[in-house]
Amino acid sequence: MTTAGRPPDIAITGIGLLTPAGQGVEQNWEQILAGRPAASRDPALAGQPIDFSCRVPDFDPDRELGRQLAWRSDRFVQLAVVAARDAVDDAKLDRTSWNGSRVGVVLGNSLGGAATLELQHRTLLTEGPAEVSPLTVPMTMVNMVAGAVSIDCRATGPSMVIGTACASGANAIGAAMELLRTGRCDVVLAGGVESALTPACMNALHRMGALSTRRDDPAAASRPFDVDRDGFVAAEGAGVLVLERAEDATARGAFRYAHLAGFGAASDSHHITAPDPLGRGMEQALRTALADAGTDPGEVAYVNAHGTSTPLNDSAEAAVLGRVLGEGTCVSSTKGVTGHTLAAAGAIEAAYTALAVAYGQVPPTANLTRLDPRVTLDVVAGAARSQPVPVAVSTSLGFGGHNAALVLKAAA
Amino acid sequence: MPTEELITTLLQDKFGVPSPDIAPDRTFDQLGIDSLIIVELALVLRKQLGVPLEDDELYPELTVQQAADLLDDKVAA
Repeated sequence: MTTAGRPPDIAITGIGLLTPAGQGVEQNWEQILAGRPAASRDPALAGQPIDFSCRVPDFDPDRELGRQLAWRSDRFVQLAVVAARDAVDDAKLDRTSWNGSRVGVVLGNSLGGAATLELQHRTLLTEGPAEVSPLTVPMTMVNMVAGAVSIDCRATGPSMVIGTACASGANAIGAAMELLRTGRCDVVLAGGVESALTPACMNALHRMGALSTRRDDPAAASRPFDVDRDGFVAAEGAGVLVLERAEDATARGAFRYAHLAGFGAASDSHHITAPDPLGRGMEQALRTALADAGTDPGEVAYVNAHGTSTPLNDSAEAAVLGRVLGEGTCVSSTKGVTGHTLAAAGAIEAAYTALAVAYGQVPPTANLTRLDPRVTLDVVAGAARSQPVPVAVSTSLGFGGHNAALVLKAAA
Repeated sequence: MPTEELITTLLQDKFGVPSPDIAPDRTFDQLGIDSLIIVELALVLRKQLGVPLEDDELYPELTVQQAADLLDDKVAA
């Protein structure tokens, strides 16, 4: 059903988060509002050139999933399954009794079961072909995370993984919105996940020049929009949202964190890793999302920026936000706390944006002490800011030139 | 450790099969060990017992006892 020719708003009715800022909405929101960085020395990376990261703390897969499911799942699947369960519980839906044929699963992921693949490759080289696990392929394939969630949640509607690097989570939410707008699903579990903090992946990112090298002070390494930023801090995490048409959510009396009103995606067509210096793809995605939401740029009260803490991303993104939304627009990047969760980032940050809308609080940008003088936005730093957030935007950019933007509005 | 006990322990600790379900006359299939996972089980048993064991020598229709007997024969040989 549409109102005045507009597609129906999509409500966020459940949030599942397993991030470096903890498990669940409460833990995450507390740490995000406090602006307390999660980055720390990573024992699994000891001796590597970059030996710090942001991991999900205290995650015990056996306890969360049971040994039978945990041992045969790579960590990226473990994180997503738990986040999906948490999201469904948060939405007060029952995955054992719902009409699963109307439930879809759309998740973003990029690097799949990198840890499993590296381990099995090592086994091949040291012990021989006969010792390679027959589960290597099902534990490694990126699509398997959507398959695992659909099995676990008895969701028999469409399930798929979208891979657009660090825009994957946002693209997955955009695709999920379409499944709901067109009536193909009644509920979609949408989000993103990444867990690839392996020596090979970390060294590859480091060799690209993407990572912060602030080894002496990991907690201060992720500093979006700061003049002294020098790269991102790699992180792992999962974020899953339960999405429903707003009218359905209202009809069942569900709590709505926020409405997803618009989505836009566009490509730089420029370079495999560097963002377009003029941010043309980002601008196109953002303008498309605003038009999709029927929102005037001046209405946007807060932007949860991609803000990775790399020199290139933050300056290009800030220029676009200033150009499209106006200089002085209220912006922050929660990656100062979480680091960069890659394919999960768009989903985790959509969740944080929804919380900002729901609770009228804008998170600060952790570690931002000296704003890059080229940034002409009102970048929130230091402490969280209490203010109404009727309309907010979350932006995502990915290697390959993928850009995505989501427009969220307060649930009426 | 007797081989049957070793299999039982592996099924519980590594593969997460609930211990009340495991009995000598239960087949692997009945314990949720499918054709993919049993190759993983064979891989672990081969290492632990130090015996040659082809991937297809264990299969889901075997009982725990039959598998133990097969492996004991190999150890004895």
